[in-house]
Amino acid sequence: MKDPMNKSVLSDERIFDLIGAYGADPSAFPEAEQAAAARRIAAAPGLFAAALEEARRLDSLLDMVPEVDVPASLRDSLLASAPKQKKASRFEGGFGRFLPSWLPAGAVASLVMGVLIGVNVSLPASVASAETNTTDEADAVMYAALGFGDYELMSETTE
Amino acid sequence: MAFVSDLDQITRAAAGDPSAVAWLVDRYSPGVISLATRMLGDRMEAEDVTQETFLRAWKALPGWEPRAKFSTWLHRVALNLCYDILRKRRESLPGELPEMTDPDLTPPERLMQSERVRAIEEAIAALPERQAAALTLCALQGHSQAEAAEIMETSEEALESLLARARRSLRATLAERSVA
Repeated sequence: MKDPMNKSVLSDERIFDLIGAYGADPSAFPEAEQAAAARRIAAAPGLFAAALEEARRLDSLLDMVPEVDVPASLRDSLLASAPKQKKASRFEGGFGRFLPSWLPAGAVASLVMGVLIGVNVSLPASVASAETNTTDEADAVMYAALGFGDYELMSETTE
Repeated sequence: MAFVSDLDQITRAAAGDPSAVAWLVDRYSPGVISLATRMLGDRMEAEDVTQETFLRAWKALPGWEPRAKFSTWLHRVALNLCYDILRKRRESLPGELPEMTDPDLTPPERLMQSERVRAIEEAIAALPERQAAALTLCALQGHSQAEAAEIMETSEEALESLLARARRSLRATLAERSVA
């Protein structure tokens, strides 16, 4: 509802309801009704005086209720229960962050290859000779893949 | 100081940033413990509720979607935990109503302020739970009607009705106890 000045107006009944629910301070009323309520209360102070006084008494009692402090022990326990920052691994920190992410997998592959080569090279001669026919070709492929072009030379010198 | 939004802090807290975690605790734990204390009238239980509320918040942080305000969500969790405790109390003490009138109360003129405060706190805690919640959120914590209604998962009209009944009931109780 609007008045001739195009301002919202509230019924007196509505203003009594607002005082009854939110207290004597119009700033505690719902925002949309604050200005209209304040205007009407100012225009007819006697009409609302008793309701406002009663509400004000309760407001002042509610204002006496203190804030509740958070005990330090509770605060500590809330902080302790919170998510923890993940520790950066040694690889992620320092120089490691400049290295490509596939590097660990590459390192593992190299290790496996190295072990295989070591086993082949250190086999006893009798076993090696027995297996020579079957393994030479595979070894040559593997060494070539690893970039050892002189595998044949190496195997000749070990013999 | 630059404005830092809840969402920034939530994102950082979810990653375990200690300063963001402390910011959330310092900003929101007073409201949560205050609500729980007023609802339950028991400090130890209110601390338990606060602890449980934040535990749930920490679990929720990684998948947090800012559909609701963090504050609203947190207060709603705390309120529901309070309702659970109050329900269990009612089940364990069927038919037992809180003692409202103390025949030994001193006359109002000699009533110390601390006694008046205690009487008000007891009267709030003795209100029906939804009235106590509405009054605490709006009158004591200064939440807007919209926020309080959202926390309580009710309409603003229903909230207003709860507030009016809470104030009437509180006024009657305090008058009976010679506090008002």
